Amino acid sequence: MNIIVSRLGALLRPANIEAPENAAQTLTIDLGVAAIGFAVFGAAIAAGGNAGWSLLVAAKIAGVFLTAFLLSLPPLYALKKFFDVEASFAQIVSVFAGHLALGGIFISAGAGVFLLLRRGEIDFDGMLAIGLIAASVIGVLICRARSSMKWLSPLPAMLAVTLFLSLLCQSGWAFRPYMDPQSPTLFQAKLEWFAGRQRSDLERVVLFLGGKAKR
Amino acid sequence: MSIRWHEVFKGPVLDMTSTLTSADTGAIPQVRAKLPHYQVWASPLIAVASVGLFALVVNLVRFGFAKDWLDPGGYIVALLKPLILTFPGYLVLRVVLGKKELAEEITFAARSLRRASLSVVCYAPVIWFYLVTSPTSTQTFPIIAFSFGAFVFWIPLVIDLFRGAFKRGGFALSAVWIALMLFTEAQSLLGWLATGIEGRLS
Amino acid sequence: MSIVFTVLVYFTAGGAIAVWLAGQARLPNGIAVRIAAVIFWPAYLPICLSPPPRPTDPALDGLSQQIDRLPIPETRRAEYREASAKLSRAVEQRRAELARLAKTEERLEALRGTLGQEERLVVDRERTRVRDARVKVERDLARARESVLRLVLRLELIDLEGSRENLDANLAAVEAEIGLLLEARVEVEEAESGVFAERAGVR
Repeated sequence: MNIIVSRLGALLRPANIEAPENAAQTLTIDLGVAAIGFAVFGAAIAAGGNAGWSLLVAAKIAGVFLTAFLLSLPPLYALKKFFDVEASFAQIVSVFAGHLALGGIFISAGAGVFLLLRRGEIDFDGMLAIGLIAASVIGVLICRARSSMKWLSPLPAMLAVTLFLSLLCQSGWAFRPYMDPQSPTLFQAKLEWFAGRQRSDLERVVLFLGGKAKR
Repeated sequence: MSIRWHEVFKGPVLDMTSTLTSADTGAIPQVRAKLPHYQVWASPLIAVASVGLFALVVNLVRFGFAKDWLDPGGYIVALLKPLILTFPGYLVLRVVLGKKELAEEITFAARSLRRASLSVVCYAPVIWFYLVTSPTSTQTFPIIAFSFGAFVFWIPLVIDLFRGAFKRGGFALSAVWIALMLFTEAQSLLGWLATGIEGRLS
Repeated sequence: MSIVFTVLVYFTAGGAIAVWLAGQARLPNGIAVRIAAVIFWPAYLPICLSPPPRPTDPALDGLSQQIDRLPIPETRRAEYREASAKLSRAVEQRRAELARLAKTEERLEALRGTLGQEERLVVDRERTRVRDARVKVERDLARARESVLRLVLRLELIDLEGSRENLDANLAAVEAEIGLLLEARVEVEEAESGVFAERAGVR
C-alpha cells in the first residue's frame, strides 16, 4: 500500500519525475491507477441502466484508454527510431504509463463534477463527458510540460500525442455506446460516412484518378 | 610502443553500421571507403517483407469478415515499384553530378528504407484494430486501410531522404527525385486501388 | 469471428511472453504483475527486456567531463568521446570476463569433487590457467584505471598551461595513451580466446 501511495504522490508532483527503479512494478501500479480512475469516470457517466450497465461502461471507458495506450506503443517505437531519440524505449513506455495514470487521477476527480452538472439529456451529457476528458488530457500535457525531465523533444512529443489522441478516438468509437444502451451516441450518424453515400463518392474519385471508368 | 591515432579505429572494434557523420575527420576516412554492411543489402528485402506483412494483416481481417482475399503481391509492387525504378538513376546522378560517394549514398538510402519498413510494420496492429472495429463490415474495398499503409511507409521515407539531402548537400537534385517518386507512387497506388474497386463492382 | 480471433491471438501471445519473461527471471514476482503482463504485454516486453543500468565508473565519467571541457573543435571532441566510449565498453567487457572466469572456477571446483585422481590433475591445470587469467584481467583493469586517472589529471592540467602548442603536444600524448589502452584490450582479448580455445580442446 505504501508503494501505491508513494507512487501516487510521485505522479502528482511532476517536478520530481525520474525513471523509476523497479520499472515493471511501477508500470503495474500506473496501469492499475489508470484503469481504476477511468473506470470511476465510466461508472459516473453511465445512465439509464442498472448496476450491471454501470460496471460495463466503467470497464469500457478503462478499455478505451488502455487500448489506445497499447496500440500507441508500436508506432511510438517507430517514432523513437525515426527521430533518433536517446532515451530507451523502456523509459518512454514507463513515462507514457505515468502520463496515463495521471490522466486517470484527473478524470476520476472530474467524475463528481459530471454528476453535479449533468442534465439527463444525451447530447449535453455526451458533450460534458468529452469536455471533461479533454480537460484531463490538457491537464496531463501541462503537468508534463512543466516537468524538468523531457524524454522526447517537441516534434516527436507532439506527434506522439496526436497519435494517441487519434487512437483514442478510434477505440472510443469501437467500444460505444456509453451513456444509454437504448440510444445512439452523438457522433454515430455522422461517422457512418464510411458505409454511406460518401463511400461511393470516394470510390468514384479513386477510379477517376486511377484511370478507370466506373460502370 | 606508440600507436598512431588513426590506428585506434581500425579493426573489429569499429561498428560499421553506425551512422556516419558529415564531419570530415582525419581518423575515419578509410571507413567511408569500405563497402556497405550486410544490413544495407538486406534493406530491400526488409521493405518487401514489411509491406507484405501489412498487406497480409489487411487481407486476414478482410477474409474474416467478407471471405474475400485481396492482392497482397500487387500492393507490394504498387508501393515499391516507383522506388525500385527511380533509385538507380538517382544514385547515378548523385554520384556523377553531386560528386557524392556511392557507398555513403547507398548506406543512407538503406537506412531510410529500414526506418520506413519499421514504420509500416509498427502501424500494422493499428490498422488491424481499425479494420476489426470499423463500420465497414460489408464487401467494400479497403481503400482507407491500404492508403494508410502507403502513407506510413512513404512519409517517413520522404522526410528522412529530405533530411539527409539537407545535411549532406545536393538538395535540389534530391527534391526533384523525391517529387518524381511521390508522383509515380501516387499514380501506382491509385491505379492498383482502382483495379481493386473495379473488381469489387463487377 | 475476427474480434474473437484477435483477442485469442493477443492473449495467447501475452501468456507465452509472460511465461518466457518469468522463465528468464526478467519479470518480478507477484500475481498482479504476472496478470498485468499477460494483459498488457506490449508495454511489459520493452521494460522487462531493457538491460539493467550499468554501474558507472567515476574515472571514466571524469574522462568524459574533461573531454567536454577541452577547447578543441567539435569533430575532434567527437573522436575523443568515441574513444572514451570504447574504453568504457572495454572496461565493462573486462569486468564481465572477470565474473565469467570466477563462475568457471567455481564450476571447475564443483567438477573436481566428482572425478578420479587422474582427471583431477587435468581440472587442476585448468583451474590454474583460469586463476592466472583472472589475475591478469584484474591487473589489466587496475592498470587501465590508473592510466585513465592519469589522463584525467593531465587533461585537467592542460587548461592551466594555457598555450596552444602545449595543448597540441599534450593532446597528442593523450591520444597515444588511449591508443595504448585500447591496444592492450585487443591483446587481452587474444590471450583470453587462446585460453578458452584450449579449454574447449580439453573438454
